[in-house]
Amino acid sequence: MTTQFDAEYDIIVVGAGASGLSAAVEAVKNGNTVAVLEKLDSVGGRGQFVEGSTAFESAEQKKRGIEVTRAQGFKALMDESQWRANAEVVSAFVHNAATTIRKLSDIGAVWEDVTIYAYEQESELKTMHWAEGEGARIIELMVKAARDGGAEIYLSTAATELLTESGRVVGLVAKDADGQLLKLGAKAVILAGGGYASSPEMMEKHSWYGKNARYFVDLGTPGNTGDGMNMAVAAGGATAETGSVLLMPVAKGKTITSHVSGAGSQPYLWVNTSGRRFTDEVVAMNFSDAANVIAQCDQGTSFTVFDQATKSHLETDGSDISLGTFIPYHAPLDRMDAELEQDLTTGTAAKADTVAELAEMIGVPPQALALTIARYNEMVDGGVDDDFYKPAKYLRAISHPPYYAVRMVAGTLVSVGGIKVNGSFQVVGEGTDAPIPGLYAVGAEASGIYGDTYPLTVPGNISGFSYTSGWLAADHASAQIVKEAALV
Amino acid sequence: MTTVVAFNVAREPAAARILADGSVIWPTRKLPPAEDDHAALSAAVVLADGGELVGVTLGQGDPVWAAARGTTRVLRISDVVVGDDDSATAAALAAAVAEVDGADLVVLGDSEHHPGLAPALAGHLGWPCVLAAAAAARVGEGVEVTRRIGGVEETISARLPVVIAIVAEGEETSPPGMKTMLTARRLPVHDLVATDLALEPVPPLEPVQTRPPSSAAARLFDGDPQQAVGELIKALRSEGVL
Repeated sequence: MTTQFDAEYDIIVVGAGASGLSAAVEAVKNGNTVAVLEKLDSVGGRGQFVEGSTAFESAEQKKRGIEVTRAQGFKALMDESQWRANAEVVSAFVHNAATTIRKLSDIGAVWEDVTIYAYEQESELKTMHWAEGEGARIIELMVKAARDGGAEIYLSTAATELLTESGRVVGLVAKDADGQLLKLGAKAVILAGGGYASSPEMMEKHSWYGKNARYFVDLGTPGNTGDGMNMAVAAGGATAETGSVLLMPVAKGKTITSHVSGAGSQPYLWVNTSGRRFTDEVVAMNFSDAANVIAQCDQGTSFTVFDQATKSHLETDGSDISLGTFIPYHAPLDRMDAELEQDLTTGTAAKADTVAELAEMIGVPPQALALTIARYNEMVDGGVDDDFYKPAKYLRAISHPPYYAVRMVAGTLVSVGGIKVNGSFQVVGEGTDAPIPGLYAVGAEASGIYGDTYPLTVPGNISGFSYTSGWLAADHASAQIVKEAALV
Repeated sequence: MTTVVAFNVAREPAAARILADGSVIWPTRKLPPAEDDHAALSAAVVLADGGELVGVTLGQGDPVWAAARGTTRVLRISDVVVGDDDSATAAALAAAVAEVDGADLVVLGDSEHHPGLAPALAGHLGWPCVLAAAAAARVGEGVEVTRRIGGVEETISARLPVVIAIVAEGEETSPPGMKTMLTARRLPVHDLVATDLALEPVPPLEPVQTRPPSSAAARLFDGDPQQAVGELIKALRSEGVL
């Protein structure tokens, strides 16, 4: 039986974020009729917050004298995943990421710099291509290029179900802005919904952090509710490494540009809800790893404790870490007092003249906190961290009241595991290596380049992967459409 | 007594892509609706009051966009494109309006970037023009136009025929859904070409030079001299100077 459709397209892209728009631009360039369905009332999704984009051997790297080979990139990504990543997928990304930079240049992107993300993070490769206007500008350019190529972009329109015939995807059901259901035909569907980070239930069910995910704060747009993964699974698709999520430390109730949150992200003294120190806080240099640490704490919560002298240091000398453009390296955190006026009343931060009072305010055992601080100050005096081996320059005494504590939690940037794909970004069927004809998954909707977590050592990789997987899927789908048409 | 709404007739800077070499790429297929177009269409629907509402547009106009918002048919001059020459655009629109039997009211967006378009259209038609309108309604044999300027709200009575240029006071609140858009594809579009309307060909305005906006300011390299020089060299390399 042949389904009656309200409209038919060559390619339907589900999601108008970084990967979906990249797919749409390429799909129309290849001469396809294209519809992009975006469930939110605006385009961009989390792609709007992208800072930079990974590539290897790009023209932008070459003209700056930067040499990061594809082989280095491949090895770094595979090593970082403990070889749980899909080598085919990593290879496709690494091989084509430089082309992504050129394609984005062709539609108007201007690359201002190629660098690393966090200063003093010596293990980082110089792969991060910073575009003028960052991710939001790239989104704007891709929307214009897609529309000018003839793509129809429908906002407030959610895909709800994939339609299959004889094992291949032939379209989908969508619910439009007026609540009307439509059946849309497509020779290929590209799932680009950005994963499941907006869904607390899916975070609890699928992320590595289980129930602790309930304490996470979602830092992105609200549309990433795992629709693509759910639809793919319902259509027989497999999943892989679904637990991998990209997190970032953030002060409870704050944004990542907040100076109180910036202070809480520093590599000073971190304690858990028991009032005990639990890690080498230099992990703060790598926001992804740092958030992984916090996410595993009791109630997914830690407290960053410092004194007035350190607060003054942050206000005048600036941040000791780099959080990209959100908190640049050495940027003075001079908005702290203004923010603290509110944050001290909401429990985000605490300020006290004694350690005991501070402990009471943040709800940790006072005696434990006093012992922790005494031990910490002892190591500061000795200049050696015998407990967790933090570099001495980050050992700052807690001795000049008033004392401060910032309540830190893990903020979710995006989930980075999900639908299992092959090197052409076709969705692979459950229990088989065979792809489901007509179905693709890209960007954060797809799995394949991560193992446990997001590797900051190859900075900009989720955006680079999103753009690159988008156009690669569109190219493969286009070729399939041409091939199948020739057989008819 | 027929209401006409002109749409997709103002090419706004936000629609352009500017490449690294300074070249400007304008949309070639469909021009995105100008920021006041949705308000103009809403006002036109009110003014048509259930009667015929004819959309007029030029080559890059999207009839479906207008049909989904209430036009009953669209007349498009398919070989005239919207450019920077407002007088040429206005002449083409006037010729299209002349094709609409009984047209006595033309509504269009009051584009901030093309302020001469509505007056030029009115000039070609020989009609009066009310600019900066927020809303309008037919009253008796004429129209009443509300506009808010400088915190003052004024109501203007105008006789027909008249051109009304509408300013949007916000973004479109409830754009039509996909199903409505798809249904709108079936509504009639009457394509004409310039020669059908005896339009004299007008050479397009060709920009002879473009330059980046002045906000691309100079960058200061200060602090430790050795570090500053290093940063300067890096920046010069990044710009391809070295």
